[in-house]
Amino acid sequence: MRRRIIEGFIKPPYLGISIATAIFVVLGWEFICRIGGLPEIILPPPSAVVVAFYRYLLGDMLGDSAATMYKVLAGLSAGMVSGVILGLLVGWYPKVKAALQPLIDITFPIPKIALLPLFIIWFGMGDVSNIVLAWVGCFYIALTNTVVGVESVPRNVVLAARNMGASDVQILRKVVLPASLPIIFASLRICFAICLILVIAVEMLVANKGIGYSIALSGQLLFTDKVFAGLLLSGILGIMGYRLIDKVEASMIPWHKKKEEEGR
Amino acid sequence: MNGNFGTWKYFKEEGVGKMNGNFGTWKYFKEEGVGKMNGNFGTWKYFKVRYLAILALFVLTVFIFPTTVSAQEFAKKFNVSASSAVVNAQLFVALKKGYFADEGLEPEIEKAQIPPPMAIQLMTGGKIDIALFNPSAGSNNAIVKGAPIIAIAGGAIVPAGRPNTALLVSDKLWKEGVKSLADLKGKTINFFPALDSTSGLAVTLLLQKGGLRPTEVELKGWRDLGPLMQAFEGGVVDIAYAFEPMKTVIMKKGNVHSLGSSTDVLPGSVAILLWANSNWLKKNEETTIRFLKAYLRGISYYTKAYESGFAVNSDVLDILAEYTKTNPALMREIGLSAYPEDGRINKPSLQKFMDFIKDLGTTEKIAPIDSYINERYVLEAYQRLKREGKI
Repeated sequence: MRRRIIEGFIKPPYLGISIATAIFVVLGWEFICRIGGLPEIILPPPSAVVVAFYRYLLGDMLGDSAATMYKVLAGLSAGMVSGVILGLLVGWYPKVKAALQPLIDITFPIPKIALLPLFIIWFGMGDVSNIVLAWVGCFYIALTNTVVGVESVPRNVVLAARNMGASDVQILRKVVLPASLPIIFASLRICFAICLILVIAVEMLVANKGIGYSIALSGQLLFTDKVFAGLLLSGILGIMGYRLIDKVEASMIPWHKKKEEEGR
Repeated sequence: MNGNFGTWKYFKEEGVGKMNGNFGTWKYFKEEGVGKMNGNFGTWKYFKVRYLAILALFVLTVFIFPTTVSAQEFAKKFNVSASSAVVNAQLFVALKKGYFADEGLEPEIEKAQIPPPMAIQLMTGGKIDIALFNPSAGSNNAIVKGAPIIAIAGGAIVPAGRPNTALLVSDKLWKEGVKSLADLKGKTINFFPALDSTSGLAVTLLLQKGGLRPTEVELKGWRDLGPLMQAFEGGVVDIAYAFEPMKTVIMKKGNVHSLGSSTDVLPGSVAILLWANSNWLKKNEETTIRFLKAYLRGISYYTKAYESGFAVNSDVLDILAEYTKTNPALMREIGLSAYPEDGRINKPSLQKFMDFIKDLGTTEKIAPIDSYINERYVLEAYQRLKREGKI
């Protein structure tokens, strides 16, 4: 059982290399801190980070993780669903694309975190403004990737479906969407990371709970070891999220996963 | 070789081995040995004396001369962190009036808004030598962990009678009956940056003045002042502790009411301190004293203006407007900070703040304030200025 869990996270053929690299980096880091005499408020040694992580685990870690992940998942779901639906429409209907593409092009590059003060005014300073920001951050990536996915579906496949009498909705649902799923899943990974980054960034500014709040508070108090513990936790949640997406992808588009593995 | 050194062409064509005259030949060196040298080089004894003379000169150059020179010379360039805020007026006045240049100094001033914890980290890492920032739980924790930072002079203090902060209440809440500090019970009070700061202490003391305990309200710290002020102006939050110049800007628009200020509860208290990297300080004592001379002259010039209501030295307002990028007309209206004229730190007020931090329990250990305050340099700077008749 334990081996299966480990296998789920790291591919067995490279397990040794991965563990050796991690050990090398951690030992090197510890060595630099101990021998180099680096002050702990600048770079705490990994041993101090582990202790801080353990204390955090006994304290607020679960509550903070839940507060953060709730916002990440809410923003991610909203962003993916809206982005994929609109992406299908923009990619499939040229008139919709003509209408929306200029708006998308203008608004996509806006730094999303700069919208926070506006969102606080519009949606209040609770979780809603944070979720909306994560949603917006995720939406554009899902949208643009879905458009690319739709436009890259082979034309002969679409024509074949049409010749068989499929309607537009049927083609979108039965042909275009499944064919775009590999790209959509690729964007899901990016969106997950972006949501996590945005939610934590906002928590660092205006929240009273969450991993970002913990990192900001620890930073303010110059408990740098606890800052690293928060960063480590974000990394762990990131890995867990990625692996979960991998599992969902493998179950939803097994043909693509199989093709990917055969290609290696 | 002709002449003393000859030419490269000569070296190349004839080869050093063929050199003769003053230097002798390589062959001679090799065959006869240096001990047997004579002629211009003289004997081995001569060579030994010469060698010892060069060695002595080297020792003097490397070890003795710098020590003697360092007493007269000093580092002209060093890094100072001070955000472009009105609370750092004294530094910008000193800079603009050329007081640093008078002392032969060319400080590199980093005017970006660097949060105090980052300033401490930069100072510990040696990237900043001197900085102006407020004492906090973070600065205490850094000192406890051995960060090489030391407070060398006082910065802005809470002015008496001229509020530069305000606990603002929206008109909506005012009309609902929140018209005094006692009416804040059960409300959320928003402030910057956190409870374990001088603004946290001011809010707590204001609540006490209204007969309330901190547990009877919700205290919410914002780690960025901009979003807090925007949220207040946008009606998202109804109570906010505001600083200048935003305090005046918001109050001028109307529909807000002030329930109190830090001036009411902490007059004369430490708000900002001047810190230095203690390792840098040990190597740059003369630079530090000269820096503090210019700093104190900045305070003196500013204070004359401040106490006269800017009737004298009124260019202070233009200097502040320039550095803080604020409308010069607004400068006349806002409540500005005061500074200790002799640059000394108000230790009782700092102790009171540290006791407050201790009671909050956000820090495991409180460093004794005397362990990180060193006023020797500011006292020396003040004495020198007096002797020179500059203040």
